[in-house]
This record gives sequence, C-alpha cells and structure tokens, in this order.
Amino acid sequence: MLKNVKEYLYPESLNEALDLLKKKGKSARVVGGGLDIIWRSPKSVECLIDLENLGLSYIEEDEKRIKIGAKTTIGEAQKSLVVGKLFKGKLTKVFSEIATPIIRNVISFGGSVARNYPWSDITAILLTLDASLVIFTGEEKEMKLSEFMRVEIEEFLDEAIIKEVRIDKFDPSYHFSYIRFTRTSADIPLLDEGMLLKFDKEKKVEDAIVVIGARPFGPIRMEDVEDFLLGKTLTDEVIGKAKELVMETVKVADDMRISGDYRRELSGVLTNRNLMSIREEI
Amino acid sequence: MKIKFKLNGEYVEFDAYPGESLFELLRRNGHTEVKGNNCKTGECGACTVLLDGVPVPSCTILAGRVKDRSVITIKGIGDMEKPHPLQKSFVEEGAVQCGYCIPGIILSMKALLDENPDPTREDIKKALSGHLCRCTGYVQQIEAVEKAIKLLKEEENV
Repeated sequence: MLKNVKEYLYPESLNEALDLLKKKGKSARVVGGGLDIIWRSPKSVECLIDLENLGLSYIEEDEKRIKIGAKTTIGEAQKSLVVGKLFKGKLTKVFSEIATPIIRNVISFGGSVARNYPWSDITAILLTLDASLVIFTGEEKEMKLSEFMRVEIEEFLDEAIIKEVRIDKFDPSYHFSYIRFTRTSADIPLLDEGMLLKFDKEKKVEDAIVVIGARPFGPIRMEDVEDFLLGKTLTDEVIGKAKELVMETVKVADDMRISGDYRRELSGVLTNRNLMSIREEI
Repeated sequence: MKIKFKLNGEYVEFDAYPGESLFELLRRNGHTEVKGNNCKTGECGACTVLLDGVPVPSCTILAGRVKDRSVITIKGIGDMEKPHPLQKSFVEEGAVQCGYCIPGIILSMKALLDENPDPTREDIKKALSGHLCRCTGYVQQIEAVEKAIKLLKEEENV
C-alpha cells in the first residue's frame, strides 16, 4: 500500500495527462504498468496518473519501423507476430526469458524506459537495437533512447510523457544476439550483453552495436569494440581479440551480488558467446 | 475512491484506497481465496488472478488499474459442485499439498490452455515458471495439467 497516495486519476488524453503531471509536480507519478511504483512505494508520491484510457497498448508496424505503445507489456511483445518477424524470432525469445511469465504481463515498455534501472534488460536490449522514443511534451518529439539516457530523466519526466518506443525493421543483413547472465532465470542480470551486427556481402562487419549492462551501472555502448569489429570477418582470432578488448575496456564494479572481477570475466564469456551465435547465422 | 469492475463475471463496486494493490482490495472485501502477498514483487505467483484473461500477480497491480476491467479469481472458474477440469485434475493427481500456491498456478494454467489448448510439456513448464511451490513439487502439477487437457477435450466432444 502506498499510504501517501490520495488521488488516482484517469486522464482522457495525453494533453490532460501532461497538464495533471505539471500541476501536481513532484508528488505525481505516471502509471504505465505500475510495477515499479508498487515495488518501490515512494513516499513522495501522492497522486497517480493512469494512462489506461489513452490507448497506449499497441504494437504496430509501418514500412520501416515497429511502434510499441508505452503501456504495452513485455508479455504482449513476446506474443506479437510483428516482433516475431524480427531476427527470425530471436527478439521474441529474448523477451520470453525476462523475469517470469506473470511478471512479464505487468512490465511495460514505457515504465522500463522511464525508470532506467541499471540492471534493466529492457533498456539494454532497446539500446542494442538503437531504439527511439516518442516523447509527448505538448507535441510529439522523437529522440534516440541513447540520448534520453543521457538526460536527468526524473527531471525530464516532470514535464514529459513517454508515448511510444520505436524499433527499426532491420533487414536480413543485420544479426542480433543478447545474453543475460542471472542467478536464477527470473532474477535481474548480474551482467548482460547485446550485439547488433550488420554484414556486407563478403560477410565483413559493416555496422556494429555492442552494449553491456548491469555492470552494475547502466547499459553502455562499447565503442572501442564496435570500432574494432568494423570491416572484420568473424574468425576465431577476431572473436578472441574482441573478447579480450571487452575485458580490457569494460567499466565494471563490485556490488553486493558479485565482484567486479567476476563481471569482467563474464563480459568476455558473453562477448564470445554472442559473436559465436551470430557467426553461426551468417 | 469507488472502483467498478467485473469480478468473477459479476459487476462489483468497491471502495478502494488510491494507493492499494488489487490483492489488498480483494482481501479487504472478503476474497480470501486470493493467497499470497508474501513477496510483494510478483515473484512467488501465489496471488495470481486473471486480468482480462491474462495472469498477473495481484500484489503488483494497483487497484485503480482494474477499473472497468475483468478480474477472475480461483472462485470464478469452478467450485466444489462443478470444478473446472484443472481443479479436478490437480486434486486427483495429488498436485496439491498445503494448497497455498495452487489458486495462482491453476489460473496461470487456465490462461495457458485458453490460449493454447494443446501445449507441450515444455510450454507447461514455462507457464509454471512464475510460481513457487515448496511442498508438492512440479511433477504432479505438470501431470495434472496434462490430465486436464484430456478432460477438456472430452468435455468438448460430449
């Protein structure tokens, strides 16, 4: 029970929701799935603004992109035929490994992005896919997730609402792999790594995104490794060197769950597995 | 605040605290068939209900979210006189000991069978994975679901 909450509001439009958010200030919180609010029970929250009536549970596609409404749950994305078409169902499989089936039915995309927890598998996956967000600030603006993660999110969301997540419909020259390492299947990752590689006709890497998250800091792009992979074919030697480079450059630390040294070792293992997995596909 | 929603097929209107969970709302209004609120994170699965047919841990759902929606608890799918095939098979297969986790498990299994009437053993295991049981173990529960699948098919053919 959030004992300090005195109001639960159901705006009928994004404009109304935003007005309420601005009016109530720091004491208000937007409800997507509501999971984080219940888990954290923040004492400062006195007003909840539910986006239920705004029609933000959807997964649509146009020619170039997949559009996921902010209230859409991971469970819905996992069952989506549109998402299933990406990377021959690999993204669906990745979503189906997060948390447990019943919790996936509560975790929303908007909520995951808004809270931006460092261990979030969702943000690590979306960052790997170079996803964009549609932000409502009175008008709709599109911004890259990578850009959003650089702002002071809590302040930013005092006057903005996340409406949608957008993912490119990558053509078959792109290959994706993501691994989360956890103590139990339902747990948050001790470390996770996502990779998106584009290959040319000679099977050389043309474009690369490598993301490591739960370090225990938030997900980050491994730019040195991305640069190293460009123009290379995935030979055993290249995979070995990429693994070493990740272990050398990744910024990790100890926390109550595991040590930084363990994370560093893991980063190499995940890099090796992701690259091997992608090599098998191309 | 007043919240009107469909509970086990009947419209109800409850007084709710704006900051309470669906679990708290249901228990305060006498629905003690909903068990749990142990983990308060949704990880144990005991408090699972169906929200518009989708299994969710009621301890993680804000009560306000169920306005104008449908909630089904274990009482909504069958009773002693006319149990749902899943309830029947769980008893017959010895899949229930203390019974604490069973309402949530059966509702998750119902959602699975509603969506896929012919799941594989692997599908059943995956759907069970959000539920902790510390006495029966999962083998009898999987067998009970498999038996319920047969019972449901027999019912369909009658």
